[in-house]
Amino acid sequence: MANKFYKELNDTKAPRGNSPLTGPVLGRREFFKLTGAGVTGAFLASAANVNAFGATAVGPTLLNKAVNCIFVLMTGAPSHTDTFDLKVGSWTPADFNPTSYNGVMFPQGLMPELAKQMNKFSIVRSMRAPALVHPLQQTWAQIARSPSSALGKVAPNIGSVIASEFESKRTASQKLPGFMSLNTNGAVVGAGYFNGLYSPFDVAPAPAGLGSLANADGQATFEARYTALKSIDSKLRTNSPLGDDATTMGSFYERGKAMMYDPAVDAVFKFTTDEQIRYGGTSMVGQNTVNGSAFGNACIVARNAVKSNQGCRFVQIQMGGWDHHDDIYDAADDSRLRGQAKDFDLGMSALLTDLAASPGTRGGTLLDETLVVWMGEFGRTVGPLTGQNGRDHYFQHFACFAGGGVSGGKVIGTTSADGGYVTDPGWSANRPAQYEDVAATIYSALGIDYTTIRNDDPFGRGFEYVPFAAQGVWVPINDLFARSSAPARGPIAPRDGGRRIG
Amino acid sequence: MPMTGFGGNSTTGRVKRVVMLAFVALAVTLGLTQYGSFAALTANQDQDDPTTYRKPSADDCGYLQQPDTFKQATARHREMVSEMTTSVASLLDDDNLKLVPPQDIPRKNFIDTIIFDRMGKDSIQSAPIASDEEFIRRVYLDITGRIPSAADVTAFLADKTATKRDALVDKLIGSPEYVDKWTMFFGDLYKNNARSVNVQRYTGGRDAFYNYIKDAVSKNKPYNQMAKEMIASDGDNFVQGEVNFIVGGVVPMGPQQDTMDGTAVEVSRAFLGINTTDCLLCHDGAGHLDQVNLWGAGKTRADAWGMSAFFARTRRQRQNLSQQPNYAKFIVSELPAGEYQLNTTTGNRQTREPVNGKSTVDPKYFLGNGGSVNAGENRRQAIARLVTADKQFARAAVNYIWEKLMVEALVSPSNAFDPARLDPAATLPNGWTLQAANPQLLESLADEFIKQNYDLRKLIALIAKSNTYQLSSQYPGTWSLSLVPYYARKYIRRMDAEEIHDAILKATNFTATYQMRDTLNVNTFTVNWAMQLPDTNEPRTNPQIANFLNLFIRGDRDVKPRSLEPSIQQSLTLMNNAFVMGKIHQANAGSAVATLLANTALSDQQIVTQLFLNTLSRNPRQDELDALLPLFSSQGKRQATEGIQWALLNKMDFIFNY
Repeated sequence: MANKFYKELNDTKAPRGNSPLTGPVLGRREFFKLTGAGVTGAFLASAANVNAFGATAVGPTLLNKAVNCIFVLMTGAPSHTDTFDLKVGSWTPADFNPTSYNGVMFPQGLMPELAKQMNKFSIVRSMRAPALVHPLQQTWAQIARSPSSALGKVAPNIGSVIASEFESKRTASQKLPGFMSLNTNGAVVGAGYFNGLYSPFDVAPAPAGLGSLANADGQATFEARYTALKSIDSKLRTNSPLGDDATTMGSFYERGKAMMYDPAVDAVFKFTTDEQIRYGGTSMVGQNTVNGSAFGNACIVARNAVKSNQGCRFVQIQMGGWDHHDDIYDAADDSRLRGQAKDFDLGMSALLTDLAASPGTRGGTLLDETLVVWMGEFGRTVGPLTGQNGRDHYFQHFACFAGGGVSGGKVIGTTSADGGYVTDPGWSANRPAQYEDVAATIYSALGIDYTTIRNDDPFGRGFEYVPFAAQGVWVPINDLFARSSAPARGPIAPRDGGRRIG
Repeated sequence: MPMTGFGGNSTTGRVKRVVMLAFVALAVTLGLTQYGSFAALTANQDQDDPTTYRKPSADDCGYLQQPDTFKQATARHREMVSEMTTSVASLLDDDNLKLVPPQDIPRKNFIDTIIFDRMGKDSIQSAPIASDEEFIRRVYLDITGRIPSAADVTAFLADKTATKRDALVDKLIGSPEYVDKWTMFFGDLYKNNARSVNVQRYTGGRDAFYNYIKDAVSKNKPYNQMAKEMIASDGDNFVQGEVNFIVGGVVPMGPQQDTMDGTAVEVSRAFLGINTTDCLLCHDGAGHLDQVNLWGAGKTRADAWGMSAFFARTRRQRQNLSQQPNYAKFIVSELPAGEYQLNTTTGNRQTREPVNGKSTVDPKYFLGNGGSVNAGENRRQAIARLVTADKQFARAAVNYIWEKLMVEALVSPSNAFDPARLDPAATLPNGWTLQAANPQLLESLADEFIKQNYDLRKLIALIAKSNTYQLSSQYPGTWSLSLVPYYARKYIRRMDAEEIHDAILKATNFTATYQMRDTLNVNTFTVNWAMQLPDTNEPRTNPQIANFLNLFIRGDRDVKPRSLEPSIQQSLTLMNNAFVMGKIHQANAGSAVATLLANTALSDQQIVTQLFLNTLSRNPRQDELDALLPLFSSQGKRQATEGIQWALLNKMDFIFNY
């Protein structure tokens, strides 16, 4: 079954029908067709009915190696065959300097700093995107399900789920929101139907820090005023007996206030020119030297956030600008691949270096307990460049993982000579991986049961952290964490139910 | 979501043409827009060169196979409205309030007769009529988008005339502020912006559309005439503002039929309140809409094509005005010939193949008894006539307006009409019920709107003068979700981003000036209130203010809906943002605080009372006075005055319309 399934998924030449939304991967119809009626039954079961199936369910083994996740979404979709699934051809610029590291081809010239840290991260090359629509795929990657699916419009960001799961572990001194998003320009997926407390705290990092953490009239005056405010408004702000919204808003004030005038919080958002340069180099704009890059700044704040241990467990960084339909190799234009890759290389390598050099809370390094993930929403066309000297959208792509117990230096999955399709999935599920598998990996790494089904969604359908994971459809890529190069274990047996909340 | 920008320090100054391949998945907005999480696309977009587009496959609308989402959309919306209302109303507890038997509520017009008779029949108790303080703030915000001035409040409270509420409604309707608020409302409804995922109107088109809407609202143009003009007019979209509605139908990266479909979708949504057209343009209703929409379930893809065929001769001729930066306008016209061809295999929708050997589609209206093109009219004139002559046109309009004033629409979500479940006398198949919360009221409002020649001001006045609108938002009894369709209390909403901005200005006695600039970076006009902004991305010349407004989630009139979702940053912003902090001090010249402190004759209590009237449009309660007056001795007069001004701007009820 699995092999046949994988073959159909991967067959780029086969007619795809008209289904980019449900996609070549696990569209509902394909899912039924390929897996048969047994799973269909569970799939269709209402939340109440699933209990009958899941009565004997045992939770999956979770990796539980990490307490933080930094998730970098490279929007616009980077070219996989020029970067983390390098395919050398006549089109490849010589100065990309394709180099083999233990058999792993990597563009040393394009990303020289990451090339030095190949032992810190692993690459999943058997990633397939279900469709090629930027906003759809970007949303999909953030909510681990099709935005068009039943709960797609109310589904929280993965970061909101993680923030809510870690909320009970928060101590009184931890002031940061559980979920921060950086450089998204407001385009990050929010908390969905979850409590607004788990909304992303969205910041565009700047060296001076976050202006709203202090009041222009000074702390003493602010405190006095806040006391006055509470004296006339406390009824609505605390324990509003009639509903969630007002107490949520009241708690937002409390959370916001708690972040103010706290040196530890303030320091998370501030950084020096030296750090900016280390994380992003310098560039010339007109006559002026500009220090750092937006991505580098975000990496610094992400590092600060996890290092501060202030309760922020998930940081999403958006790095846009990878949609290189034309002149992808243009060296004179920093918005093309080289400029993008330079910013990414400097920022990510400095982040990995600093995390590895910082102590964690569990005896190891901070990197040991921080899972770092980077990926685009899909890949780009392979082989020679297009008529516009660029690359267009493509299903094949990659995802990279570092820290959080990931065994570095590995490549999972093999693609065809041109990088167009998967020839060997290279992991225990024996099929190409999708966003949902990445989400399951993140959850599992953070010790969160990815098969959880909450019964508190507005539709009473049961909100699955990863849809169908309880049936074994999507699974963590455990092979990333294994020390040996062989798959960690065989395919995970489907289970009929998951952990249930609500 | 920006495709370019953050990491790409474009240092060379070369302007790259970045073609955005993404297209919006067919407006996945069946209800639930308040939860919409679709990221916005704001990438540089240039649709001149289709050769660089990769053809996406068509859309399977997989979401429609999971009808539970849509079946329960109404229930979910009601739950949200109910929760917001109950939680905020708890602030306003007045122990003296009592529920009222509906027979005791005076019937001011047929709305009250229908609403309260039904409550009486079902033994539902009504909330009491709102106090004057509750009413005046509510009606100012709902009709004009701004809070009343302190003088307005005190004069109204002092007025003993029995008809003063009606008089106030009449005074507000048609005021300049009314024009601003409803221009914003219709700008949202018609999705007027300079740039969307599918098409750029540029500032020239946006401003012309904005001016068209503003002119129509200020002249109280009959709504059917507005609709006809927007659907049927020809012309230059920088000059004939109304043609920008048709410009908005463009769907790139596919054959012409995709744009014909896109136009039919927008006409259905905006003027008929029907969003299932989008579904039907990919597939028949049977097998998809059976549990969602009784009317839609019986319709076919061919029926929907009949609507699209009315737009088969619509031409949008793009004229480039500038290359760097891109600036272009559209000339909308009607071609003498052209058909909706069934011959496509690529694009945004499924393959179109001949039906029964016929490879073109004739225009045919998909509601009621159909209808097509008459002699002497072109296709768009025909569909404009058919749409505006249909009672569904009136139903959709009154439902949208009702929602704006009453928070919960009669048919909710308000763009999810099921035409087969509206007639109160209809016999429905097993398992189906009438769709509207109050079917008789919807029909009566639509009849009245038609009878009054589609007069928007009369419609708004009718609703605002009803005791249904004027009920208290407090319900001193056991409230339950099942009462929502009765409108047994007034529902509470968070104020829109623009309303919050303008309320801060007005409460503190400030005005603002925001410069609008066109795509070519030339100054065009200025506005003084956020409610006057021509779209929800402005003011681009003042990013701090644009960010302030964005934090309260005003949407982008494209893929990001308006939302009431709160956030920690909204709180931090109201507490610390320069927009607030620059208005609360004696040193802020012209501020309300400065004026109060300059008047040495005022007692502490008079100062507090004035700040309450300025900011919250009501007098302070005794417990509030008791809490605040001691600050004058403990902190000093200036500090206390400034601090109370700050606290009232951050007080929870300030950003709600209750």
